[in-house]
Amino acid sequence: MVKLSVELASLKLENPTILASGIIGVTKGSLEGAVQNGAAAVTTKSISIEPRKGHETPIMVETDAGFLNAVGYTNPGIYSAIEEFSDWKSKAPLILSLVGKDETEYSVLAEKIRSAQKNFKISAVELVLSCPHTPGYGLMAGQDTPEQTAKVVRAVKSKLPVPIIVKFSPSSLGVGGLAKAAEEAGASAINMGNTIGPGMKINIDQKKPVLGFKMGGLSGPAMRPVTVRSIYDIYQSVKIPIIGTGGVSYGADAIELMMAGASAIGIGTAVWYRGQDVFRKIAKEMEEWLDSNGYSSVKEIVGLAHE
Amino acid sequence: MSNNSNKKCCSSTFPQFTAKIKSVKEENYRIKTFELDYDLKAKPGQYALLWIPGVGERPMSIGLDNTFTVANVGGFSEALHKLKKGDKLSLRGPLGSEFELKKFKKIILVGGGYGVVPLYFLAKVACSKNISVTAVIAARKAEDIIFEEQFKKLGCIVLASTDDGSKGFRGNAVEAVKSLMQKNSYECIYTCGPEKMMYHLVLLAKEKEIESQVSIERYIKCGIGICGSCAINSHLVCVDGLVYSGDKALRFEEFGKSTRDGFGKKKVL
Ligand SMILES: Cc1cc2nc3c(=O)[nH]c(=O)nc-3n(C[C@H](O)[C@H](O)[C@H](O)COP(=O)(O)OP(=O)(O)OC[C@H]3O[C@@H](n4cnc5c(N)ncnc54)[C@H](O)[C@@H]3O)c2cc1C
Ligand SMILES: Cc1cc2nc3c(=O)[nH]c(=O)nc-3n(C[C@H](O)[C@H](O)[C@H](O)COP(=O)(O)O)c2cc1C
Repeated sequence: MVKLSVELASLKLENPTILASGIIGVTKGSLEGAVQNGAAAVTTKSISIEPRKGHETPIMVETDAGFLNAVGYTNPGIYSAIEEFSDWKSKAPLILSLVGKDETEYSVLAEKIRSAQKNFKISAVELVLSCPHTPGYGLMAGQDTPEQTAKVVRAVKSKLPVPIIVKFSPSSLGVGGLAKAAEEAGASAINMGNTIGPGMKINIDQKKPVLGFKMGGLSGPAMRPVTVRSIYDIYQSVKIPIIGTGGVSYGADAIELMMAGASAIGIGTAVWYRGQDVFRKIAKEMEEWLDSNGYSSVKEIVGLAHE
Repeated sequence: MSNNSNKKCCSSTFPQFTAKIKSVKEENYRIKTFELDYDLKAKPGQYALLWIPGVGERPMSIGLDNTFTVANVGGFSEALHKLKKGDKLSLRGPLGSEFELKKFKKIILVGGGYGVVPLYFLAKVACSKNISVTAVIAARKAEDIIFEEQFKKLGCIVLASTDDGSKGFRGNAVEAVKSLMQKNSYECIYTCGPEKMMYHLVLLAKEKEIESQVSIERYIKCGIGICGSCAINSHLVCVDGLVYSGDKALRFEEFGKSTRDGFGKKKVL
């Protein structure tokens, strides 16, 4: 019997798969659905202080071996989100994704969460500093510097007692240094990562970019080599665990990210390629691979490519 | 010499097509039907995402013979209404589940507003299989009733129903169906329209111990079960709907009770 369970900071996961932020996670019901489909932990859609309508549709368009998306952080705002995600009963950890323009906004978000009712229970917060296609945030606002990272992490850490995950994009330069800054400021884990780009898809019949925002972040199999390299870099510069996210559709893809240094795997676009039960499928494929290669626990392969 | 020139490195799983508009027909003061020159190979109940560059993309029910019947109510629909014969229209689809006719011999279709669009498509298929079809077309007032003549031409029994009684039955669609059921029995109610109406029709079907199928509308953006904006309880309507059996719909606590706006916030119906 191969053991698939992993620990990530203080989070206990039955298998390494986590529902990535922004994928089906608008409502508590959909998150529960992901757990029923095998996800060991789930991440909510990223939540801002005020409600955000997001970008005009189309918000997603397919490209070779992947998708471009430009959702633009559509969300109902932190007040509604607290109401929505309260009374989480599943034993799968609930990760609340937060998006703010700077440390002041993150501090306000942390304060709102701290003062929420007791029935609002989350296992961790994930701070997104890496969206490649939303003005005012992430890569478009230069949030991906070691200084900004440290400020944001400290702001949240001083208000909230829950583990902090910081999410970066492989499109940022010097991801190892960014991760180090997050670790030193008190983060409990790194998520590498977000989509890359931004990229653009033009419909040649209409002679126009397809996405409402014209450009968007690339996800799916096409980005996986970049994710793997970025995880590999980060593994060499920090001791805190890494969630590997980007381009995982099969068990073998997840194994590859774990060999690069990931302790758990975020899954997004593959929900389309392989169906809503992709989590169970990937966990099973990992188990089979580990079994036939003589491993007794998935933890044994973390960082193997560095040895 | 190797010949790689025709190899495709990855196949598309969600392609966007560009069709031309073959004809435009005015149905009433604010509804037009657009026919495409492109065979969508759709089944009744399915939808497509229509795209107008620089304006946006919206889900629309697919009507009979590659048509879309659209009410002019806002930004996108207004832009669509400006398109003319010969203009380009891009779309993705057909998407979603379909109405099932099973082995029924006598059915009733109940459409509210643009909900009659997929039902008219269904009526055509049902009539070609010699199924007896009764159609209830519900609207607020007489000028909002569409497709009445078309349903009649197919050989359906048609009852228009208006809130103000300006045409046909006076009252809501559920009452209209109840009145028909006093003298007739049907094996299945198919319905598409306002959710409260559908909810009460499903309850009526249960009471009469007959089947029902509903087409649930939610805020649809990506169309591929990724973005999550169309959630109803733990289900994503854009991929496993729009059409559900009435029994399944009743298992969604939110059915008939609440929906979500474009921000994902719960709205009581
Ligand atoms: C499955 C489905 C099938 C539909 N079929 C038809 C049809 O056959 N004929 C027809 O006229 N209309 C149909 N609609 C409605 C259509 O998609 C648009 O919502 C409508 O045309 C209004 O868009 P607008 O930009 O013109 O107006 P807006 O001013 O943008 O919006 C008007 C209202 O439409 C709703 N809306 C906007 N975008 C969406 C969206 N992406 N998904 C759901 N609701 C939205 C909002 O609640 C808003 O209040 C369908 C919707 C769905 C979800
Ligand atoms: C439609 C869509 C919406 C997303 N929204 C968010 C978001 O709100 N916050 C976030 O941190 N990442 C968001 N992401 C990024 C994903 O969480 C993930 O990092 C990325 O898609 C790469 O993983 P994948 O290849 O498995 O999809 C989004 C991705 C997609 C495709």
